[in-house]
Amino acid sequence: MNAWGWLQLGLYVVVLLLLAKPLGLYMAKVYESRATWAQRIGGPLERLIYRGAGVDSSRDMGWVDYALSMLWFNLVGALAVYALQRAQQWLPLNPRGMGAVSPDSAFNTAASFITNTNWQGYGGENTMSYLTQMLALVVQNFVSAATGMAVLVALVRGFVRKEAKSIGNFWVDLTRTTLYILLPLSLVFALVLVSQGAPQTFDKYATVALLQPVTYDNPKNGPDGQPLKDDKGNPVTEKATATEQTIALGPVASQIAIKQLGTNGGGYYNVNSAHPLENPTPLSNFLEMLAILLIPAALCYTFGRMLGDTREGWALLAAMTIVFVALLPITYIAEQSGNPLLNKLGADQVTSATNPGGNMEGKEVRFGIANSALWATATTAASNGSVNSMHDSFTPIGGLIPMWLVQLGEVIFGGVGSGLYGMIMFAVVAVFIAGLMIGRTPEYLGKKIGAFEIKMASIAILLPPLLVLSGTALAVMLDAGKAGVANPAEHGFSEILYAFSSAGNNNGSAFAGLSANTPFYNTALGICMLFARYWLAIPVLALAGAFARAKSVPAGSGTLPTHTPLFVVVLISTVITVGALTFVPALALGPVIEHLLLHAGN
Amino acid sequence: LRDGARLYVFFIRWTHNFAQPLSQIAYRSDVVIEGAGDVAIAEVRSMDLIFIGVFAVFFAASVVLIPILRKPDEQGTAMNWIYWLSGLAALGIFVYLLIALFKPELFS
Repeated sequence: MNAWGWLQLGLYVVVLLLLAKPLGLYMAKVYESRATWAQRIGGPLERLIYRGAGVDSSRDMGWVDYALSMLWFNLVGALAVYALQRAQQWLPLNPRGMGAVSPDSAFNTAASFITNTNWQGYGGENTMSYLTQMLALVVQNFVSAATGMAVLVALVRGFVRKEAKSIGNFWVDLTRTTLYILLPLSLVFALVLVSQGAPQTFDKYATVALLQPVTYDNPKNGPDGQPLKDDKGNPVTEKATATEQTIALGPVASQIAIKQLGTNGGGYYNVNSAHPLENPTPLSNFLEMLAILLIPAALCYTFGRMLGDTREGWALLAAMTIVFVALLPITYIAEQSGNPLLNKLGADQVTSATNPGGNMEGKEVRFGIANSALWATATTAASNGSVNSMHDSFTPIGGLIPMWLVQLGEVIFGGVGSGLYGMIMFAVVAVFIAGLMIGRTPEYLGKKIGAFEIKMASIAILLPPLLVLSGTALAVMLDAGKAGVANPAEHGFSEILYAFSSAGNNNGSAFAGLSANTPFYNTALGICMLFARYWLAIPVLALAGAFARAKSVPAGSGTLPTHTPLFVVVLISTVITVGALTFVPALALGPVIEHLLLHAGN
Repeated sequence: LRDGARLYVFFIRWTHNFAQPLSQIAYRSDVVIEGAGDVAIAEVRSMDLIFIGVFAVFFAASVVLIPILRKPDEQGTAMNWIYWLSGLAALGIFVYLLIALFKPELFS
């Protein structure tokens, strides 16, 4: 740890909070049809889209129609992504001649990208054609993010409207989010990434001569294409010398821009933002990290602005920021402290002018420990899932924090839209608990919280832990689940728990170390992602409909103010308590015991 | 129906017994792979039906979830034809998959 490390962490948080208000204000104007200059430019295109799709933009929907539109739109998206992967060998923009993606992997990827999870069981540069990357994955990066933001806006309208039957028009919200928010930001950000060295081309992969030939042991394959093994079970290898290298290219920058802004996380390359062409410079690293939390943070201000009381938005943003800022140093300190077993072996883990110190395994020397810890915390706080270091190589405590942030339900910033509506579900529960404490009818933002509202919030809060824990239990019981684990014992358990946490909360990051591109994991994780996305969004929309129909209750002396520091504390306590009660036993079997064993010298 | 059931059982057994990536041995959709027991051979292409079926069941079931989550005071018909159709489709595919899993001989 040094001053520069802390300075970078502090700078990140400050810049993020400074940008939250202007962007949040702009987004509020978009949703309230007051973004005059943007609508003047994009208006003709917007109207053309409605005309082409046969959408009546003036018709507001009830929550049932809104939810149905969301589901049908996403079903069509799922089938399109699946079909594009299965048929890519016959389609254009495939200079490498990539074959069809296997059915189980195509299913997993389709489920992953429509749900904004962007878990990747495949390696992008070895599996997907340019067309699949652009038309299947990037399109879903936009529309899955826009779907989450649309559901949030519908919920906000539920709070704002009184005795109304409608909560907006899904197609209008989807179009405006994409056209006026995601596309302009992505365009600008993609150009910035190109300026930093990220490729944006349809050229074939480049083959370049190595400066120095490399000799290595190459595994031999049998006639069936499987690796050969000797009598002792060791791989049979042969000496090979590489004199040239293939550099994967393609439309990278455009995918990276929306991958970060839309909290998608699905990278163009297999190693995601640890790849030098996906994240070329320290500046691109900082901007990509900023893009991860930018829209989720700004949406808090949008929320307050649309309510007519920005203090409500600031309160939610404060709760998110406090948890984030409290957990970030734990990861940083754990990683900077290094591995105690390596000290005994004489390894130098002390920070100096020429040595970053600490645990550098799985980290890019270009970014160092502070920026790796910051990225890991930000990407798991948001449901982004992109990585610039390998979480599997983190120390047990350094890995515990990202995993727990995922398990908190992706409400600490969370996904675009989904993070905030998840936090609002916690706020509803927090208000209910506080109401019980002071003996009054609970209200939140002028709407009474009754049995129905608590049932909907409970479904949204408790479904992800159910998916994560039951999925993990299933995987550790079945041979197919255990066979994918690269490390035995507690670390292997952490790998499985992380995978299901990631899928069951629509995060998408991987602990690595787990061979998840198997039929079992592709199918099980894919199903988890579907449930985690839509069976949360539907109760949220049901709640939006109920709030919209309800009268607005004026604040009285018994009303708990929800913009005060006291409520922020109550909200944080609710999130932490639910997260601790559901996941600490599982975490004790993984990273906690691994930490204890590590410091006991094992 | 028979081929679909055989494929489904093959797939379930595969997921329970093998960790080997299907993509390694069946990368191309026209490659024939070998199964075990009463399911001898299956074409990878037909796996598409299973996964499209999973999407169909999930989204149909989600549509059915909507009227269940309606608040009692909400006006309007709770179930219209689209819910019934979705529910029946989801139920039909689900029952078929269950029978195929536990009684595959019914389709032989």
